[in-house]
Amino acid sequence: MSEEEFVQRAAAGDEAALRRLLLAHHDQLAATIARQLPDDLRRTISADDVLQEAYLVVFRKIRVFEPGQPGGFHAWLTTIAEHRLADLIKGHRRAKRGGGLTQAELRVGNDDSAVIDMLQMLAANSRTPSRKARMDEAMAAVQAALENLKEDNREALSLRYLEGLSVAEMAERMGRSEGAVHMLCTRGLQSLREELGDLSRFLSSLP
Amino acid sequence: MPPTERENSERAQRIQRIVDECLARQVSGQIVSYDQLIAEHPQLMPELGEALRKLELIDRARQRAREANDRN
Repeated sequence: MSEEEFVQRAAAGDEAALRRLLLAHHDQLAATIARQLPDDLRRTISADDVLQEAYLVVFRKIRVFEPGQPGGFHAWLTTIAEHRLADLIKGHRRAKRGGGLTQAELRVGNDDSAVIDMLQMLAANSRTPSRKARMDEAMAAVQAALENLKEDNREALSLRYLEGLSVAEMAERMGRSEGAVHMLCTRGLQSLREELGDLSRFLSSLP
Repeated sequence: MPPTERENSERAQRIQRIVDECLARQVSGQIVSYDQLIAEHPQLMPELGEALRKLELIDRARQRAREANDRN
Protein backbone atom coordinates (compact mmCIF):
# COMPACT_ATOMS: atom_id res chain seq x y z
CA MET A 1 0.00 0.00 0.00
CA SER A 2 1.34 3.46 -0.89
CA GLU A 3 1.69 6.35 1.54
CA GLU A 4 -1.19 8.15 -0.16
CA GLU A 5 -3.44 5.13 0.44
CA PHE A 6 -2.42 5.03 4.10
CA VAL A 7 -3.17 8.76 4.36
CA GLN A 8 -6.60 8.32 2.80
CA ARG A 9 -7.41 5.47 5.16
CA ALA A 10 -6.17 7.44 8.15
CA ALA A 11 -8.27 10.47 7.18
CA ALA A 12 -11.27 8.15 6.87
CA GLY A 13 -10.81 7.07 10.50
CA ASP A 14 -8.50 4.05 10.25
CA GLU A 15 -6.41 4.44 13.43
CA ALA A 16 -4.04 1.59 12.57
CA ALA A 17 -3.19 3.37 9.30
CA LEU A 18 -2.61 6.62 11.17
CA ARG A 19 -0.38 4.97 13.78
CA ARG A 20 1.66 3.30 11.05
CA LEU A 21 2.04 6.65 9.24
CA LEU A 22 3.13 8.43 12.40
CA LEU A 23 5.65 5.69 13.10
CA ALA A 24 7.01 6.01 9.56
CA HIS A 25 7.34 9.81 9.81
CA HIS A 26 8.56 9.93 13.41
CA ASP A 27 12.32 9.96 12.88
CA GLN A 28 12.29 12.65 10.19
CA LEU A 29 9.90 14.78 12.20
CA ALA A 30 11.96 14.32 15.38
CA ALA A 31 15.07 15.45 13.54
CA THR A 32 13.26 18.54 12.21
CA ILE A 33 12.06 19.49 15.69
CA ALA A 34 15.40 18.69 17.35
CA ARG A 35 17.11 21.18 15.02
CA GLN A 36 14.69 23.91 16.14
CA LEU A 37 15.02 23.37 19.90
CA PRO A 38 16.60 26.42 21.55
CA ASP A 39 19.99 25.64 23.09
CA ASP A 40 18.93 26.68 26.57
CA LEU A 41 15.93 24.32 26.58
CA ARG A 42 17.52 21.22 25.08
CA ARG A 43 18.02 19.75 28.51
CA THR A 44 14.37 20.04 29.45
CA ILE A 45 12.45 19.66 26.18
CA SER A 46 13.09 16.74 23.84
CA ALA A 47 11.77 16.24 20.33
CA ASP A 48 9.71 13.35 21.72
CA ASP A 49 8.01 15.69 24.20
CA VAL A 50 6.99 17.92 21.31
CA LEU A 51 5.85 15.03 19.14
CA GLN A 52 3.79 13.52 21.96
CA GLU A 53 1.83 16.79 22.08
CA ALA A 54 1.70 17.05 18.29
CA TYR A 55 0.32 13.52 17.89
CA LEU A 56 -2.45 14.31 20.35
CA VAL A 57 -3.53 17.11 17.99
CA VAL A 58 -3.14 14.82 14.97
CA PHE A 59 -5.46 12.18 16.44
CA ARG A 60 -8.04 14.85 17.20
CA LYS A 61 -7.80 16.60 13.81
CA ILE A 62 -7.16 13.79 11.33
CA ARG A 63 -10.82 13.68 10.33
CA VAL A 64 -10.61 17.22 8.99
CA PHE A 65 -7.30 16.68 7.18
CA GLU A 66 -7.82 16.71 3.43
CA PRO A 67 -5.38 14.42 1.58
CA GLY A 68 -3.98 16.42 -1.31
CA GLN A 69 -0.72 16.26 -3.13
CA PRO A 70 2.10 13.88 -2.15
CA GLY A 71 3.98 15.19 0.85
CA GLY A 72 0.94 17.01 2.18
CA PHE A 73 0.62 14.77 5.22
CA HIS A 74 4.22 15.31 6.28
CA ALA A 75 3.87 19.06 5.80
CA TRP A 76 0.71 19.02 7.94
CA LEU A 77 2.46 17.02 10.66
CA THR A 78 5.43 19.38 10.62
CA THR A 79 3.20 22.45 10.98
CA ILE A 80 1.40 20.94 13.98
CA ALA A 81 4.68 19.90 15.62
CA GLU A 82 6.22 23.34 15.10
CA HIS A 83 3.18 25.01 16.67
CA ARG A 84 3.38 22.69 19.66
CA LEU A 85 7.10 23.39 19.95
CA ALA A 86 6.36 27.12 20.06
CA ASP A 87 3.77 26.52 22.81
CA LEU A 88 6.17 24.40 24.87
CA ILE A 89 8.93 26.99 24.51
CA LYS A 90 6.57 29.73 25.73
CA GLY A 91 5.55 27.59 28.71
CA HIS A 92 9.13 26.85 29.71
CA ARG A 93 10.20 30.47 29.30
CA ARG A 94 7.40 31.46 31.67
CA ALA A 95 8.46 28.80 34.17
CA LYS A 96 12.06 29.98 33.98
CA ARG A 97 10.97 33.55 34.65
CA GLY A 98 9.50 32.41 37.94
CA GLY A 99 6.61 30.09 37.29
CA GLY A 100 3.99 32.81 37.35
CA LEU A 101 1.37 30.75 35.60
CA THR A 102 -2.21 31.88 35.85
CA GLN A 103 -5.25 29.66 35.76
CA ALA A 104 -5.87 30.66 32.16
CA GLU A 105 -2.30 29.97 31.14
CA LEU A 106 -1.96 26.57 32.77
CA ARG A 107 -3.37 24.01 30.40
CA VAL A 108 -5.76 21.91 32.34
CA GLY A 109 -6.71 18.31 31.95
CA ASN A 110 -5.39 15.62 29.76
CA ASP A 111 -2.13 17.24 28.83
CA ASP A 112 1.40 16.26 29.80
CA SER A 113 2.49 19.85 29.24
CA ALA A 114 0.51 20.89 32.30
CA VAL A 115 2.18 18.17 34.38
CA ILE A 116 5.59 19.21 33.05
CA ASP A 117 4.73 22.85 33.84
CA MET A 118 3.96 21.83 37.40
CA LEU A 119 7.22 19.92 37.69
CA GLN A 120 9.08 22.96 36.38
CA MET A 121 7.32 25.11 38.93
CA LEU A 122 8.22 22.66 41.68
CA ALA A 123 11.86 22.94 40.64
CA ALA A 124 11.68 26.75 40.47
CA ASN A 125 9.91 27.12 43.79
CA SER A 126 12.19 24.77 45.65
CA ARG A 127 14.92 27.28 44.82
CA THR A 128 12.86 30.38 45.60
CA PRO A 129 11.55 30.33 49.18
CA SER A 130 9.59 33.57 48.80
CA ARG A 131 7.37 32.02 46.17
CA LYS A 132 7.01 28.72 47.95
CA ALA A 133 4.33 29.79 50.39
CA ARG A 134 1.76 30.80 47.81
CA MET A 135 1.99 27.55 45.89
CA ASP A 136 2.31 25.13 48.75
CA GLU A 137 -0.88 23.23 48.10
CA ALA A 138 -0.27 22.56 44.45
CA MET A 139 3.39 21.79 44.86
CA ALA A 140 2.78 19.50 47.83
CA ALA A 141 0.33 17.59 45.66
CA VAL A 142 2.91 17.21 42.89
CA GLN A 143 5.53 16.12 45.42
CA ALA A 144 3.15 13.59 46.97
CA ALA A 145 2.17 12.27 43.55
CA LEU A 146 5.83 11.85 42.67
CA GLU A 147 6.37 9.85 45.84
CA ASN A 148 3.65 7.44 44.76
CA LEU A 149 5.30 6.58 41.45
CA LYS A 150 7.40 3.51 40.84
CA GLU A 151 10.97 4.19 41.88
CA ASP A 152 12.50 4.17 38.41
CA ASN A 153 9.75 6.42 36.99
CA ARG A 154 10.16 8.84 39.89
CA GLU A 155 13.92 8.90 39.48
CA ALA A 156 13.59 9.56 35.74
CA LEU A 157 11.17 12.47 36.19
CA SER A 158 13.23 13.94 39.02
CA LEU A 159 16.45 13.81 37.05
CA ARG A 160 14.82 15.20 33.93
CA TYR A 161 12.54 17.92 35.24
CA LEU A 162 13.82 18.77 38.71
CA GLU A 163 17.56 18.41 38.19
CA GLY A 164 17.39 19.30 34.49
CA LEU A 165 19.66 16.55 33.20
CA SER A 166 19.74 15.77 29.50
CA VAL A 167 18.55 12.36 28.34
CA ALA A 168 22.15 11.35 27.62
CA GLU A 169 23.21 12.35 31.13
CA MET A 170 20.27 10.49 32.62
CA ALA A 171 21.11 7.36 30.64
CA GLU A 172 24.64 7.45 32.00
CA ARG A 173 23.49 8.14 35.57
CA MET A 174 20.82 5.41 35.49
CA GLY A 175 22.88 2.87 33.58
CA ARG A 176 20.20 2.53 30.89
CA SER A 177 19.87 3.27 27.19
CA GLU A 178 18.52 6.64 26.05
CA GLY A 179 15.49 4.84 24.64
CA ALA A 180 14.79 3.21 28.00
CA VAL A 181 15.13 6.58 29.72
CA HIS A 182 12.62 8.13 27.29
CA MET A 183 10.25 5.25 28.03
CA LEU A 184 10.60 5.78 31.79
CA CYS A 185 9.81 9.48 31.38
CA THR A 186 6.82 8.78 29.15
CA ARG A 187 5.39 6.23 31.57
CA GLY A 188 6.29 8.39 34.56
CA LEU A 189 4.42 11.40 33.16
CA GLN A 190 1.41 9.21 32.46
CA SER A 191 1.44 7.85 36.01
CA LEU A 192 1.95 11.32 37.46
CA ARG A 193 -0.97 12.69 35.47
CA GLU A 194 -3.13 9.83 36.72
CA GLU A 195 -1.99 10.44 40.29
CA LEU A 196 -2.78 14.14 40.05
CA GLY A 197 -6.13 13.67 38.33
CA ASP A 198 -7.87 16.87 37.31
CA LEU A 199 -5.24 19.58 37.62
CA SER A 200 -7.92 22.25 37.92
CA ARG A 201 -8.45 21.29 41.56
CA PHE A 202 -5.02 22.76 42.34
CA LEU A 203 -5.50 25.97 40.47
CA SER A 204 -7.14 27.92 43.28
CA SER A 205 -3.78 27.97 45.01
CA LEU A 206 -1.89 29.33 42.04
CA PRO A 207 -1.31 33.03 41.51
CA MET B 1 31.85 -9.15 10.44
CA PRO B 2 29.32 -6.30 9.99
CA PRO B 3 25.90 -7.22 8.58
CA THR B 4 25.41 -6.88 4.85
CA GLU B 5 22.96 -4.44 3.30
CA ARG B 6 20.67 -7.37 2.53
CA GLU B 7 20.78 -8.60 6.14
CA ASN B 8 19.96 -5.12 7.38
CA SER B 9 17.06 -4.87 4.96
CA GLU B 10 15.68 -8.26 6.03
CA ARG B 11 15.99 -7.24 9.66
CA ALA B 12 14.09 -4.00 9.04
CA GLN B 13 11.39 -5.94 7.18
CA ARG B 14 11.03 -8.39 10.08
CA ILE B 15 10.62 -5.52 12.52
CA GLN B 16 8.05 -3.88 10.25
CA ARG B 17 6.12 -7.18 10.05
CA ILE B 18 6.10 -7.50 13.84
CA VAL B 19 4.89 -3.91 14.21
CA ASP B 20 2.19 -4.46 11.55
CA GLU B 21 1.03 -7.65 13.31
CA CYS B 22 1.00 -5.78 16.59
CA LEU B 23 -1.17 -3.01 15.07
CA ALA B 24 -3.52 -5.59 13.52
CA ARG B 25 -3.89 -7.44 16.84
CA GLN B 26 -4.63 -4.21 18.66
CA VAL B 27 -7.23 -3.21 16.07
CA SER B 28 -8.92 -6.57 16.64
CA GLY B 29 -9.15 -5.73 20.32
CA GLN B 30 -6.24 -7.77 21.64
CA ILE B 31 -3.97 -6.36 24.31
CA VAL B 32 -0.37 -6.57 23.17
CA SER B 33 2.46 -6.44 25.69
CA TYR B 34 5.43 -4.62 24.20
CA ASP B 35 7.67 -6.02 26.90
CA GLN B 36 6.61 -9.53 25.87
CA LEU B 37 7.26 -8.78 22.19
CA ILE B 38 10.76 -7.64 23.08
CA ALA B 39 11.30 -10.79 25.14
CA GLU B 40 10.14 -12.92 22.19
CA HIS B 41 12.52 -11.24 19.73
CA PRO B 42 15.75 -10.44 21.58
CA GLN B 43 17.71 -10.83 18.35
CA LEU B 44 15.92 -7.80 16.91
CA MET B 45 16.99 -5.49 19.72
CA PRO B 46 17.64 -2.62 20.03
CA GLU B 47 15.77 -1.63 16.85
CA LEU B 48 12.53 -3.40 17.79
CA GLY B 49 12.57 -1.78 21.22
CA GLU B 50 13.04 1.62 19.62
CA ALA B 51 10.13 1.03 17.22
CA LEU B 52 7.89 -0.07 20.10
CA ARG B 53 8.97 2.91 22.18
CA LYS B 54 7.81 5.22 19.39
CA LEU B 55 4.61 3.23 19.04
CA GLU B 56 4.00 3.59 22.77
CA LEU B 57 4.46 7.36 22.48
CA ILE B 58 1.97 7.40 19.58
CA ASP B 59 -0.48 5.17 21.47
CA ARG B 60 -0.34 7.40 24.47
CA ALA B 61 -1.24 10.42 22.35
CA ARG B 62 -4.10 8.41 20.85
CA GLN B 63 -5.37 7.48 24.32
CA ARG B 64 -5.20 11.08 25.49
CA ALA B 65 -7.06 12.23 22.37
CA ARG B 66 -9.80 9.70 23.12
CA GLU B 67 -10.05 10.86 26.72
CA ALA B 68 -10.23 14.49 25.60
CA ASN B 69 -12.94 13.68 23.05
CA ASP B 70 -14.90 11.77 25.70
CA ARG B 71 -14.82 14.82 27.96
CA ASN B 72 -16.07 17.16 25.20
